[in-house]
Amino acid sequence: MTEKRNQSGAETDVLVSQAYRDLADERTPERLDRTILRAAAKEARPRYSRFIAWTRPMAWAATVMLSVALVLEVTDTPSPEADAMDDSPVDSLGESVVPASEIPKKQSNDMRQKAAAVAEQEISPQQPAARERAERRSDTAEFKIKNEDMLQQAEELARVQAGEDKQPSPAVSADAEQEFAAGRALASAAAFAAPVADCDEDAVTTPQTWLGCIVALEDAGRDDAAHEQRAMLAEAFPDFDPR
Amino acid sequence: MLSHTVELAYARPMDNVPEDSALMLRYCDGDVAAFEVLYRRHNDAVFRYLLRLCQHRDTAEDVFQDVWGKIVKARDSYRPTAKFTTFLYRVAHNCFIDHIRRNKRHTQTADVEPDTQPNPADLPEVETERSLARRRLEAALQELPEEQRDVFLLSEEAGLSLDQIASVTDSNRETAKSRLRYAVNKLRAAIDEPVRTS
Repeated sequence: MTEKRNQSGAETDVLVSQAYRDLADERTPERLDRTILRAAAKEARPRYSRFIAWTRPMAWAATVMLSVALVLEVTDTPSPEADAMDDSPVDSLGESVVPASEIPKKQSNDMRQKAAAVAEQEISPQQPAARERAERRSDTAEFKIKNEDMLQQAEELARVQAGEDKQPSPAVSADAEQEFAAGRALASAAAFAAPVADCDEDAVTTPQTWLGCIVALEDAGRDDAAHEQRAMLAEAFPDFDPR
Repeated sequence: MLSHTVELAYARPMDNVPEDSALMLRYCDGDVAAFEVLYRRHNDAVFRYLLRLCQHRDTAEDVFQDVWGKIVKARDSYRPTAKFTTFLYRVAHNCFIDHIRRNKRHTQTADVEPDTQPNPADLPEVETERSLARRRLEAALQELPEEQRDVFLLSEEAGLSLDQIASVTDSNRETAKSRLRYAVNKLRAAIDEPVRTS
């Protein structure tokens, strides 16, 4: 009885099995063993090891470089505030004041329009705080520039009038009354549009219009501004009697 | 369920020899030494299985390398749901089938080594009866139908049961049993023939 069951239960023949065992003595070539074991070792390595080996130092280097660049940028570049402090004077509110001669005419006009627009937007009877804020702005550079312009123009006018005739003629006085009324209207309009403004360019061209503007300021209850304008009027037109 | 199976596979057997599945799981965790133990345990048997199936040494080496390459690649997806030997020989069987489909040159052009081809004219007179039987078995094995040879080799080289053989060859148990019986009978006849004639 040569038939048997092998350890796993498959029927086989002892003689055949023995003969096959004698026959089957081939072994795997050594080079194949090496190849397969090398491939297995390569596959077992973590796949991301090479990636990590490159990225970690690169990440560190990038971080250090960025930090150094940032520090150098911060330390070397002067701040804009410092520039502003160095280049231009600053008024009591912290805003830079530029002499009128240094500001181009067009820019000056733009600034005036901007200020008027801001005043229109911000000022209303229901907003006393806004009014106060706007009045404070009237002391800023733009209005100072305007006053300086007006002063210069008034001085020029005074010089011209002083050279020609010390007493105004009747025609001149009629004109003066008209100009006074026009100045008052201008001042009223300016006070309505922008109560912060004292007397604009048009109002100070003649002493009459200027006086009208001053009266309008007094009517508006701005006695301080009116007093200041009176002083400026007296200085610009010493021969003009405002009474 | 799966974790329980993994625990069993990792458990130390009674004879302190780690099971194939445990070795494979250790390799899945990156233990290359475990894979080497596993490989040394099965490499020769798998090689002989493929050598007898392919009947061509170079082809057998190619398929052998392909088989272990797939085992290595399977480390990420390997689950010890079946006996490792069954898994290994199923991979080997499938690689062989794939190779046949790819290369039509696998026909009856057996590239048998000269010393294994029986040539009565060259046989020395002193060759023993056993040696002759061995040569005749070799020849008979090569003449077996591919399915019968496959089943016989799975039984002899891998030590698989009929159920496992059926699983590897994608057939049922009765088919595997029938193929094995036919194969054994033919080989036995080949071995016995010279004894009867002598």
